[in-house]
Amino acid sequence: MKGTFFKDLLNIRGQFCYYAVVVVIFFIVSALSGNLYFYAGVSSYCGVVAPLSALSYDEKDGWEPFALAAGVTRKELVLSRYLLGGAVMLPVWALSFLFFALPSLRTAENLYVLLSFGGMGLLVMSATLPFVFKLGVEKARAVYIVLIVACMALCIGAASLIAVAGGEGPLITAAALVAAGVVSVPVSAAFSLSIYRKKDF
Amino acid sequence: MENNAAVRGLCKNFGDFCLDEVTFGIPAGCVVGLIGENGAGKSTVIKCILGLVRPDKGETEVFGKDAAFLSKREREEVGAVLGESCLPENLTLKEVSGVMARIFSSWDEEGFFALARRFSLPEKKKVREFSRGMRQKAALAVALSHGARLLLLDEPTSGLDPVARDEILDILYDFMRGGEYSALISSHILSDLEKLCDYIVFLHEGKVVFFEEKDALSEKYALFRGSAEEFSALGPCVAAYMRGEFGVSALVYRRAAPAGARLEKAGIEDIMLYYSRGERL
Repeated sequence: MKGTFFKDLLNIRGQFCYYAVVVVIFFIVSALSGNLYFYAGVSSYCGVVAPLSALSYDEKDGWEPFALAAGVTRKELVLSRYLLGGAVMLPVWALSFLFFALPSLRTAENLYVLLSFGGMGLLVMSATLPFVFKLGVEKARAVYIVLIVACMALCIGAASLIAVAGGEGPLITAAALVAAGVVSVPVSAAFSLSIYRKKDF
Repeated sequence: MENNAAVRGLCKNFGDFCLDEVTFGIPAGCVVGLIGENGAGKSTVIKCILGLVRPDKGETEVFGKDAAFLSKREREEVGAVLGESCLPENLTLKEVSGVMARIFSSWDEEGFFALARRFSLPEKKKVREFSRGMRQKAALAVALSHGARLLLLDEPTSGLDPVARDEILDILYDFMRGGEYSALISSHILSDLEKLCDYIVFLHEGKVVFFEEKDALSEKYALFRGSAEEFSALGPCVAAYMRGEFGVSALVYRRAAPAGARLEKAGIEDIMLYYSRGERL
């Protein structure tokens, strides 16, 4: 898995500067506007876009048949994508807690927002990757777009809930989303692996 | 002779095409050429041996073990080149070597760069800037740099100019001279295989037409060219024939041919052509 993960990092390194620019811009916009949804949305996006890019390169390069022939197992190939998604998304998400250094943003509502988006980022990644392994990158992009739109709708709903409800409801929702996100990753990986094991190259 | 790899009764149905009871072996120290027209199933056979395609039926064996149960170390002893592309295009050869060192425990970095220099491959250019021939050579350099005892090469010289093809064949020839290595090479450039191979497997529409020693083929088959009357006198020695403007030409079994029949030497290309396009009696 080390070799595949290392190859993925090298392959998509050119895109890291774009990710960095987007992350910085949205961080500044969120900090100045006091609205963390901008940045939180970006962190969710990163969890899928990195493995999608890596897999897209692999399809073009014919890497997967080569790697499998070289003794890399199907399990390693599948897990390395989840590892890549996590390795890009989690640091970006963790950076969002820097907002709490600003007293004006240090609110319970913002904490719920960031926790919720962390969970949703993992959920989107977990929901998208099995489609990528089943359908290939191009067709799975459509699924990803649908999921992102669904997430945005969910976020608007969640934002209204957080603003209106108060009390412990939003905290429970945020904690539940984080828990669901964490649980979804191994479940999704197992599902992806069962798809990938049946695949011919 | 002991086989380094073998397939027995291999079947795979894709709906519009199927491999049907494919059986042959790759003896240790030998090069086996896998020939057949496009779509005959050559790549599928190689992919079955590599575990990339799961056969519906049959066995694939590598180093005496079921290919599906090879350890990682044993898999490293199989080098593969699968068509033109397989290396990450965004990487330089130096980076490719770094990746391979993390994949293969027996990665020979020095050997890899020695081959890269021999092939005149630039170390600092990205693979995407390489020509087709350079990519093939880079893929071959990788396959030869991790202690492989068995090479499975799918069309390694396809699309290359004669000079690049000759260079690749030279490298393969050198590799095989060691004696303990084996290779299965698929190609439809039969002149390449004639230079290298000890055995030939001919696949036609998913079936093995023959698996023979290359030298035995020229003893077994011959070409006949003559009039329709002369052809009809040949009898059951005809394997396949083609009618032309000036008579009939046929691939015949040399030993079964009537004494005095005018026969010419049949090359592998002739044998493949007659079996693929010729009519049967």
